[in-house]
Amino acid sequence: MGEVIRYKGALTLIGLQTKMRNDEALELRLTAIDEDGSDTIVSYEDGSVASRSLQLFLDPGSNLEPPAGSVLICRGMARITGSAQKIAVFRKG
Amino acid sequence: MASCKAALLISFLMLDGCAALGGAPAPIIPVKDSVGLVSAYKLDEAIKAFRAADDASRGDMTPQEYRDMVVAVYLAAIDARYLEFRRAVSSQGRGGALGADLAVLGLTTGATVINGAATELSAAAAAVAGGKAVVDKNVYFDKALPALLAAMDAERAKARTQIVLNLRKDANAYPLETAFGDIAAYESAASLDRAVDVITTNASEQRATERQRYENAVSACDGEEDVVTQRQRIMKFVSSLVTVGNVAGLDSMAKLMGLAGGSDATTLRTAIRRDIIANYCSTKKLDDLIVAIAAQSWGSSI
Repeated sequence: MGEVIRYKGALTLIGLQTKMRNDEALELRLTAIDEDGSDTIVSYEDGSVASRSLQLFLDPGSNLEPPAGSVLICRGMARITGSAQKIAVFRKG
Repeated sequence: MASCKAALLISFLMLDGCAALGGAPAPIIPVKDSVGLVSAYKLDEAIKAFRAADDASRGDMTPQEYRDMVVAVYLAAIDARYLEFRRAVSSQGRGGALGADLAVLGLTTGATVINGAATELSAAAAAVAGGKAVVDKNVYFDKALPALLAAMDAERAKARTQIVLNLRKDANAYPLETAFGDIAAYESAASLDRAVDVITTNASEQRATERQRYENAVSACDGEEDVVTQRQRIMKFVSSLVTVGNVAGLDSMAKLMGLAGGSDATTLRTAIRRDIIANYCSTKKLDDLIVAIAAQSWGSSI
C-alpha cells in the first residue's frame, strides 16, 4: 500500500529530515524522493524501521558515500528552502 | 517532426571512431543471399502464382504452402538486413567508424526488402549521409541507443507475432496479398522514428502516472517537532487492532478523529494514518489524541 507524502518546499534540510522520520514512525519506510517544482514528494512503502534512522544529506555530485554504519537508500531531488537540490538518503544501522 | 527526430537520433552514425569491435558473430548466410532470394518471388509474380489454379504453377505446393514459403523468404531477408544494421550499430557503439559506410548497411540504397515499404531507416540514414545533424556521440550511444534498439526489437516482435498468428489461417482467410501487407509492416517496425515515438509515449505515460501519484499525495501538516514517539505509540495501537481484527475499535477510533467510519480494517488503518500525517504534527495534538483514545473502552491498551 504505502503512501506518497508531499512536504512543503520551504523546509530546511533538517526540518525535512525530522518530518520524514516522523512519518516513518507510522510504519512506513522511505523508498524514493523527488520534487515537483514546488514541494518535495516522498514515496514510502509499508514497513517498520528503527526510530529516527533516516539521514538526509545534500548530494550535489550524486556520489556521496554513506556515513560509517549507514547504507544508501536512494538518491533523488528535494526542495530545500525553496530550491531544488540533489539529495542522498541513508539509513543508520 | 518525425523525420527530425530520426535525423537527430541516427546522426551518431556519422561520427568518427577507432577500430571497431564486433557486436555479434558474422552471419553464416550472407545478407545479400537472403535478400537476393526475394527477387525470385517478386510481389506481382508471387501473387500470380499464389492465385494460379493448379499447384504445378507453384512448384507442386498448395496455395497455403506457397504463401508460407514466400512469407518465410521475406521474413528471413528482413531479419538478415536488420541484424546487419544492429551489428553495425553495435560496432559503432564500441568505437567503430561507420559514417562513411552507411551504404554497406543497405540503409541508403533506397531499396527496401519489400517494394513500396519505405522505412524510416532509409530516410534517417539519408539524412545522416547528408550531414544534417550533429549530436554528442556519447549521449546517444550511452543513453539512447540501447533503449531505441530495445524499442525497435519490441515493435518487430509485435509485428512478427501477428504474422505468425495469421499464418495459422488457411490461404483463403489469409491470402498472400494480405501477408505482404503484414510483411511491409514488419519491415517498417524497424524504424528509429517509431522507436523514438514508442519511448516518448512510454515516458509520457510514466510521467502522467507519476504526476497522478503526486497529485494524490497526502500533504504533511505544518510543524517540525519530533513526534516519532507519539506517532509510533498510536500506530502500534492501530496495528494491534488490525491484528486482532477489532474492526469496531478501528471504526470508533476513526470516528473519534472525525473521519468516516468503515468496516474494512485495512481501509480504516490507512485513513487513520493519512489523517495523522496531514493533521497531527505537534506533540500536544498527538498527546491529546492518545488521552482521548485511552478514555474509550476499546482504547485502554494504547
